[in-house]
Amino acid sequence: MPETRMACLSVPLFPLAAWLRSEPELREDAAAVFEGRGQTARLVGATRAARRHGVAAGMTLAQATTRLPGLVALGRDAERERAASDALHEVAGSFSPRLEQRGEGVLLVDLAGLDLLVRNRRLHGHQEDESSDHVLGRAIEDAGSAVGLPIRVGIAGSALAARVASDLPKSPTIVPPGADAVFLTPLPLQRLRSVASGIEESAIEGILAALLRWGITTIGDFARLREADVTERLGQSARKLHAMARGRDPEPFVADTEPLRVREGMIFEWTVTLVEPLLFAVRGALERILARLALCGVACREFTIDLNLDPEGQDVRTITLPAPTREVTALVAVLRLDLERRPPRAPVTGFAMTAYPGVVRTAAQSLFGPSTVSPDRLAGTLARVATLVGPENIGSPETVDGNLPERESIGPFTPPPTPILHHPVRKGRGFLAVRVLRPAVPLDVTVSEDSSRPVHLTSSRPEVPDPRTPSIEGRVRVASGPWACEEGWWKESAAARDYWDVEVEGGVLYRIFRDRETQAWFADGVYD
Amino acid sequence: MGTPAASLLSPGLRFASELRPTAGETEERVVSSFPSLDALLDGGFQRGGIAEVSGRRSCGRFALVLSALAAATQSGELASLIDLGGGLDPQQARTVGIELSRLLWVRPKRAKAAFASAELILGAGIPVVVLECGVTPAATKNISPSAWMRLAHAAQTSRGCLIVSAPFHLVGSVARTAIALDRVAPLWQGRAGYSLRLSGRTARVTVTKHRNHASGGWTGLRFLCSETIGPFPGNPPETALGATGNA
Repeated sequence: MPETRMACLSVPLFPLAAWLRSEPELREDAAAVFEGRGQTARLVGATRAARRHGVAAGMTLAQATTRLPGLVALGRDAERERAASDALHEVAGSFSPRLEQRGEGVLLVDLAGLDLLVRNRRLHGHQEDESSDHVLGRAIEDAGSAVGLPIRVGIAGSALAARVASDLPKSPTIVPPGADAVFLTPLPLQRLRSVASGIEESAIEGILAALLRWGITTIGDFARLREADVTERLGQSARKLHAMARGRDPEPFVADTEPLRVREGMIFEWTVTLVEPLLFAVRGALERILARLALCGVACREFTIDLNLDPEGQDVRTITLPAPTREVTALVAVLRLDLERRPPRAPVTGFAMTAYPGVVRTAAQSLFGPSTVSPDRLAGTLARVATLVGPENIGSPETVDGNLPERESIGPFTPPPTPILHHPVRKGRGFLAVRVLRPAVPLDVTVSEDSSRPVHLTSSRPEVPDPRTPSIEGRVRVASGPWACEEGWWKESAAARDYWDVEVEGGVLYRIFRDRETQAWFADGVYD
Repeated sequence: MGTPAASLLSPGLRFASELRPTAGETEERVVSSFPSLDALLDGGFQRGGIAEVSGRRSCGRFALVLSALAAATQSGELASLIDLGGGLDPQQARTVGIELSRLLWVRPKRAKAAFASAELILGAGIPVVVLECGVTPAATKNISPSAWMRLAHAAQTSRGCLIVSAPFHLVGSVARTAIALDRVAPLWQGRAGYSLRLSGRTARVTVTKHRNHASGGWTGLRFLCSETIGPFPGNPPETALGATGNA
């Protein structure tokens, strides 16, 4: 089995390096970057000229400017740091696709399979006597310099040793294969700080102070102690630190995977003003996108279409599907509905689409159980039905906490796997169901003078009649109530109602209520 | 010498394909969970076609289709409710016994979208689809007969069961099974003016159309309020109105 080789790329004083990358003239000045606001902001990095005057990390702004009145004080700049971090990723990515971020300005790179690259570099004038790792380390430093980042490189057999090596002032630091323990042994204990992730800073301070009191000053001395003795005297945090001293990496290398995004698009030679020609072009792009997604074994979960408008401007739409699908027809139908609902404000001169992947559920057909629906087909159907009824009107019903009977919620339809055999069906118990009237039908109610009991119902006649609103009318034969229902008394939209179950002439049963605040009557259900 | 296998087959049977059941002859049924009604329908609603349930308000039509959905989802099948009136109460559906995760709830605003959704969902292979037309006849009165033909074809092709629940007869001759519900009497408990409460209602269901049977068979059904029956064993207790009380 080939030995693994890891490189650690670290940018010392990363917030300051991000500033100096974009404003290199500050490099010779006495400048420092502070985190926080006001005089209590803490110094996180200072240039060599500032450090020469005694300005050090951890000082407050007041302390630093007292020590060096001409100090150029800078605040942390998230945008510059994001750009510097992107540049660091691009440098590392130009050598290997397998990267893992280990904190601010620190990247681990898997160097497996880079022999060919080293051979090519040798052909281009690098010294023959340098080891492959040296050649790589220098190449990474050169690439960093090209983008304005002072990268220190450590290369070793484990991520932990590479991380420690990248913290050393000499760069690149190469630990020969199989010599990680020899490399770590003479180093001072303080070098463990950078790799001690998952342990609180105060705990590390206490442990290192105790070890120093005992005369243990190097990582090798610490590693030679028995684990049980360390744990017994200094606790679990010390046990973790002791494992690191013995070269055990607390976090195995896990390469960051770039989220898959598939882009397609085109610029038209003429402007498009109708939906059909636009969808004709989009369909081709969607087919290509789905073919590319299928290569990765995934489907489309969401896509964004960015329409270029004539003469200028953009119209960006994001369409989320009820379930990942590979059906082009379904995607085109969803997009058509969106375009018809909200047409672009100007002719279209081109488009760019970005599709985001989702995993299609898999299902196995059972020989003896209920029939299974193909997940891919179901996803396509959901998308097409969503275009007919709106995505908010399709899904799985969900129960909602509360007291109001009309409460409801609809969630994504992700059914559980089909059982291998038919489940036994419980015998029906003949529940009387209530058909909820959404929205509740306003009523004109006549009540008895003695007990406020409803005696006659008529649905109110709105100015614009809706044929879907049921008509309710009749003398009340039996009324049961009132049943109090309150919800959200602590909110502005509090509900306080008196419910009645009423039977009108003919035997129809309604659930009606009187709003206590407005004294208005409504029917919100039919017993059916 | 054993008996030739061909001689065991029905006379006149020559090809294996003739053994395949023709549309509608499958033994699998969608049960309604009401034993007396299922007995009238030879085990339940037939698959591969349309079953129509009609009845005016408060006749137990909605309770009957919810009960069929509960039976389908409990057996592990997927089911869909195309709810034209949007009258489903998820809390109540769970009380009735529907496994909500296996139920696809579609709330179209118009009949055209409801019919198109039903066709698509049947085509996707969901075996039990309920098209609930609500309480107002206005929504569905202008439906063309060819729409029912299309839905019947979709159900037959996918071997699914489409249950159409409507306030009056809509489907016409395309329906394989048609039943009509009539309300009989509400059940009240307690004394008028003091602690009176609704406990349920009774209904009469008549089979108006059923394959191989003369129409006209009927049975009585009784629907009871969940407070009267109590929750299913194992289900958390629920009340229809949440925190209620007799003021």
